[in-house]
Amino acid sequence: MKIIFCNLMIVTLCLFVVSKTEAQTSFDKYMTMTDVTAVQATPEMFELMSDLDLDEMSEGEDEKSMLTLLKNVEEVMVISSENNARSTLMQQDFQSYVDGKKLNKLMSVNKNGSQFLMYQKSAKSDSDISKFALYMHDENNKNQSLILIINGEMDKESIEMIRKTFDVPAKSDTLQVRN
Amino acid sequence: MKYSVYCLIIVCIAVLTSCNDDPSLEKYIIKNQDDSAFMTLDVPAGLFIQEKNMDGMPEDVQRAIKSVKKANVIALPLDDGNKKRMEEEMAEMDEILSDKKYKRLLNLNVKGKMIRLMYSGEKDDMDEIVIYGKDPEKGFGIARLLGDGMNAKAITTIMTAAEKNQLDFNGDAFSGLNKLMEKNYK
Repeated sequence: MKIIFCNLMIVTLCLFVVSKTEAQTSFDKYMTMTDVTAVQATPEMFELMSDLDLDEMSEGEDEKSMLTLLKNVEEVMVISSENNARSTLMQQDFQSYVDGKKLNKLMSVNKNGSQFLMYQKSAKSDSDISKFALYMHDENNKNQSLILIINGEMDKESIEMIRKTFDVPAKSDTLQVRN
Repeated sequence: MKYSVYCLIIVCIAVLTSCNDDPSLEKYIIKNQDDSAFMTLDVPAGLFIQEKNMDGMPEDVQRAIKSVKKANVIALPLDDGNKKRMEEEMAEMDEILSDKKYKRLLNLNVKGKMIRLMYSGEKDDMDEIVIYGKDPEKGFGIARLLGDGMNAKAITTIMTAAEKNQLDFNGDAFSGLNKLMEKNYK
């Protein structure tokens, strides 16, 4: 009995050691690739930022609203590449991430050589979102591919702001495309 | 009972051995600071801003400045002959900084050029703030702030004060840094 207990303890310890932050793992490799630009702000970063008086530091409305958006965010990752071979890999990794985390599809648009995929996971309160993921690929813009992943609570307005920032077509456009 | 004793022994051994071959950044800097291939810069905080110049500063700025004890820079520039050594040193540095005591704040990769920002200690009482930069074409470098009671607030206080020209920087400390930069990045 005790042996089992000991073994269990060791296994649990090992699991604890290898467990990483949410968005890491399959995206880790992009942090060293030479044809990729990637940035990852960790939960520790946002924890530190939460201690600062951001209102005091920010200037201008845009910056203020961006900081409000990031207030409850825990992790942000952006990966971007202009290499076509990478975009296939990025899309695969994106898909397995959203499938693995059981995110719901918010929209998918495919028109004129641009592709957009948006996923989200609802938070406990209905109006909020706990995870957000965006993949886009634009043939007309240097074949750029981009992944954006945000973990942490956000409201719908934040998503709208992200949508505008990345020029993702609005919902009404999506419907037209689907029809 | 026997098994729990065994477990205890195993844990003790693991803890002891991990302490013994702890490859710390401090040791790495000491080991390499006299090596001519490296560039190092060691600045006690007093050299940045002298105490006598602090009198007119707001109290929170003074406290923030005093929480930073010293700064280290160590860099290994890439040249024709040291490619193999560069790889080894980079691997060693990666190993040192993969220690769990370093909490990653930011990972940045711009087409193979990497910057990592991390700290050790508690978030309200940081021991070290480390910036690690790697460039496959230029080499790598570490900048480290050592402190006592450093925190994010203190760092931003210093930065804000610097922006408002409230700090009377000691020029000598920076000329050394400038020279290092010029040599490295020209």
